[in-house]
Parts: sequence; C-alpha cells; structure tokens
Amino acid sequence: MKKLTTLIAAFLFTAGMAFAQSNEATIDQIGDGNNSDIEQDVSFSNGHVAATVQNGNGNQSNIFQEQSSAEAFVSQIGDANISDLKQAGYNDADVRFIGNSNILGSYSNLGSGVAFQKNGSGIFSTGFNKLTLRAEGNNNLFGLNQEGGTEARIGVLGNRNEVSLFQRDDNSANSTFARVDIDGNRNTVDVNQGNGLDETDNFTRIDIMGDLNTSSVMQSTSFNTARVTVNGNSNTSSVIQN
Amino acid sequence: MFKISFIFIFIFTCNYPCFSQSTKTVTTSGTGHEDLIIQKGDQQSADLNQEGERQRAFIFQAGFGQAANVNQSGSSNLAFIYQMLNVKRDSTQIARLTQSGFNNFLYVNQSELNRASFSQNGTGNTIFYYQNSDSSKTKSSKTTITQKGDGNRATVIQN
Repeated sequence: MKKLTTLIAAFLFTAGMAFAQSNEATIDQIGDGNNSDIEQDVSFSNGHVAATVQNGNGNQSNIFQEQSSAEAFVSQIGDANISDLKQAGYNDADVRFIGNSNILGSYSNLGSGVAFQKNGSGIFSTGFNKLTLRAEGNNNLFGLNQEGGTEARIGVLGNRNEVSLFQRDDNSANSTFARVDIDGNRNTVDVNQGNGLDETDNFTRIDIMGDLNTSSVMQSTSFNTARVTVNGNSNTSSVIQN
Repeated sequence: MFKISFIFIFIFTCNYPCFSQSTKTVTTSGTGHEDLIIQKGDQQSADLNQEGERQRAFIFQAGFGQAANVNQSGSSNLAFIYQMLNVKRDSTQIARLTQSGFNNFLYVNQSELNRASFSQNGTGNTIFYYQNSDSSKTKSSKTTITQKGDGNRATVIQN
C-alpha cells in the first residue's frame, strides 16, 4: 500500500494543472432523502448553467454561483423539499415546486433555505438579477433576497403558502420589479422594496384570487408603484410608501 | 480475506506523448477487487467493468483526448477517476460511470475541456465531482449526474 501511494503521488506531481470555464452541471435525482450540491465559482468567468431535478420527498438542492450571467434551474416534485440558492452578479434563476411543505428560503427566516441573488463585484456590480418561481401545493415557504437591478415573478397555486420578497437596488440606472400571482386561500405575501443606496423606480404588482389571504407591500424612496388586485372574501391588503 | 486483483500500468518515466491511442479493458467479478489504471498518452481509453461487491477502481489519466469508462454492479463499490493534463493545451477528457447497488462512492477530479456522465441506481450512493479552471483558457465543461434511489448525494464543484 505504501508503494501504491508513492506511485500515485509521483504521477500526480508530474501532471500539470489545466483549466476550463463556462461550466454546465445537471443533476437528476429520483427518490427520497437525496441531496444535490452544485458550486460554480470561477471568479473570472461567466455563463455557468446549473440544473437540478429532484422527484421525491425530503430532498435538498444547493446551488451556489458566482460571477455573472449564470443560470440556475431547480425543479422539485414531492413534499418537504428544500431549495437553497445563492447567485452573485447578474443572474437568472428558475425554480419550480410541485408538492407540499417545500421551502425556498431567505428573508424573514423562512425555514432553513437560502435564496439570495446579490450584487457581483467590479463590472458585474450593476447587473440585473431575475428569478421566476412557480409552485403548486400547500404550506410552502418561499423567500427571496435580491440585490442589484431585480426582477421577481412568482406564481403560487395552493393554500397556506407564504411568500416573502426583499429587493434592493444600489444603482439609479436599475429598478426593482415584483410580480406575484396567488390562487388559493390563507396565503401570505410580503414585498419589501426600496432599501438601496441610490434607488428609485420600484414596482410591485400582486394579484390574489381566493379567501383569507394577506398581502403587504412596503416601498421606500421615490417613483414607486404598487398595484394590488384581490378577488375573494376576507382578504387583507396593505401598501405603505414612504 | 478478499481476493485482490491488481492491474497496474504505470509509465513511470514516460514524457508526453507516449503509448498513444491505447485502450485498456479490465473485467473482474467477485468481491474485493482493486484495479488501478494509469495512462499518460494521447487518445487513450480505460474501460473497467467490475461485477461484485466491495470493489475499488482507480483510474489516473493525463493525456489528450482520454476517456475513462467504469461500470460497477453490486454494492459498496468505490471508483476514483483523476483526469488532468501534464501540458497546458486544448484537450477533451471524458469520464463515464455507472454504479448499481447500495452505498457506492464515486470521486472524480477533472481539468480542462471535459465531459462527464455518471449514473447511480440504488440507495445511499455518493458522487463527488470536482473540476479545476484557469483564466488562461476559454473552455467549457459539461457534467450530467443521474441518481435513482433514496438517500443519495451528488456534489459538483466547478471552479
């Protein structure tokens, strides 16, 4: 065994390092209790693609991407799944859930998940982050924390779901955009915009169909627009612009 | 005691290119096999089929256009694939692996322009894929992992 170890070490020592970028990773898991991790963090590169598809219960997906122009796709079908997502730069994320008690986390301590799209560094610091979320099921927790120019499009079909969205923009050339569509009962939507250093032009649109739902919009700074449409009974909505 | 079959190819003093376009095919059956394949030439292929349990496969490649193909049937198998180049230039290295059974483990380390495809059927399997990069190249890599079963874990690190 000592001889084998020595020879392997000799081989590795003589082989030089070589390199790549713009990576693509796809993980497809069928079953329960599976775990998927994708980390793409080439600081000089962009254009990475990460895709995770999990079909089962109690699965967990973790995607971490830096720098810019990365794309993440997560599809979880089943119950009690968790999706963790962190992107830096200007990135796109597309997340789909079908099932109950699933988590896409961040902001307001939504479960143990982490969904965070942040500013990149250097030339990537003024980029635009975009997230699309589609979910069908009940008792799900969806949270997102976005920086930079931001766009979030969220559609939820089911009951007792919770959506929390925090958006900030530190560049006056960008804007924040949130569109949330809810179809069901006893759901909660919370949108918080306008916490950036040089932020204007916040836009929120919420459409709710169902009963006993709650929505709240908080917008700071100037040039804010909030449009809330509710169709159902015993719903509660609030909009605060300051 | 496990029966141990040991296939050992090591070009200890060979400098690139050497033993190009060669293919090494190994098929074992039973339990406790341990196979080691080391290739440093161009266009080389390592094909390893292990049938049984508690088998170990080690493949080291450092050449141009190399491919590693590993099939392990059974449980508690381990595959270790290390692909890297001894010169900085364009290259494509391919790693393919299929494991069926329980508690199998795969570790893959690649650099350069790579293609990797891994499939595991069973429960408690683990895949760990690691890839290096460098700003001096503008290449890309593609990794596909399929796992069917419960309690599996797949980790991809590309940096």
